[in-house]
Amino acid sequence: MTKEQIMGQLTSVFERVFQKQDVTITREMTAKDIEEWDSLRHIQLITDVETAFGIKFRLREVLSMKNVGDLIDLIQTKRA
Amino acid sequence: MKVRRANRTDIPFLVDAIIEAEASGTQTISYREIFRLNDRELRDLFDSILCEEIQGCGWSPPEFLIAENDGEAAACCAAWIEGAGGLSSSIIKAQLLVEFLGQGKWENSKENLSAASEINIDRTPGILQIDSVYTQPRYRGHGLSSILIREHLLQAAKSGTRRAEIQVMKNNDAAIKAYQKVGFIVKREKGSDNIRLGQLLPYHTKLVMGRD
Repeated sequence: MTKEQIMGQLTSVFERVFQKQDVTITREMTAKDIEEWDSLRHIQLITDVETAFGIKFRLREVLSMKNVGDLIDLIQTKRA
Repeated sequence: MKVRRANRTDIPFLVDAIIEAEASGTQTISYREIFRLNDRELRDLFDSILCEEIQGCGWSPPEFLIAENDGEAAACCAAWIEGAGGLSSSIIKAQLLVEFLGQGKWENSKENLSAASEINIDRTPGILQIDSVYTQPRYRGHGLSSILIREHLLQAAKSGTRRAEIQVMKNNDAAIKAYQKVGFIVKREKGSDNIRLGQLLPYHTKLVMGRD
């Protein structure tokens, strides 16, 4: 998968988890940029990303992600 | 009395500390109630989490200072700089709980989690967070928690962090007085009249105390 394809699919996951339309995700985006991004939504987001991309993250992988860019890179690595 | 950093050999004592501090002087331990755990499951949960040594939320041995008397742990206190690794402590805690409770238990507890979150207060990024302040009953009244908090403040100040925060339940008078003695004042409070909170948390109102 290309990063653009991942970003497209990831946008749909974000829209579903945060119940918002027209979400624009960027590589620099973090939990601070979405008001509703609390710990409960974070767990939902990670679970939905795993389901959408058919992958499974390890604990330390999830905790090492600093922003959405890191999430995209990790998805690409796992899907390769 | 000697003050030292905690390590893996202290984990059983740190489990006691986290559980007792969470109960806030009551019989209600939020994690036990929210996830419907028995006492053994609760201890195993925190034992596993502490063994993982993930920093950034006060659930890792090196984040604790211990006051030791003749080789026995008498008191402890955790501290960390909020958001230092990029993620908030509440997200790190949630991720650890999912990892060691399992996704199913987390999903089944969502209603409880949502109710308990009504009095959640985000911790301030970049500020020293003090948590899990605990003294064994027979060592109480000797100011051990003050010694440990002051030592955390001193160590953080050396690295350039002077401001500190503590979250405490509003009914925990003894803890509030102890924190006031070390210079903390009440900065904010958040409460809820949701009747379910009485079964899930030690109290319905939380305070943030700060020290500038």
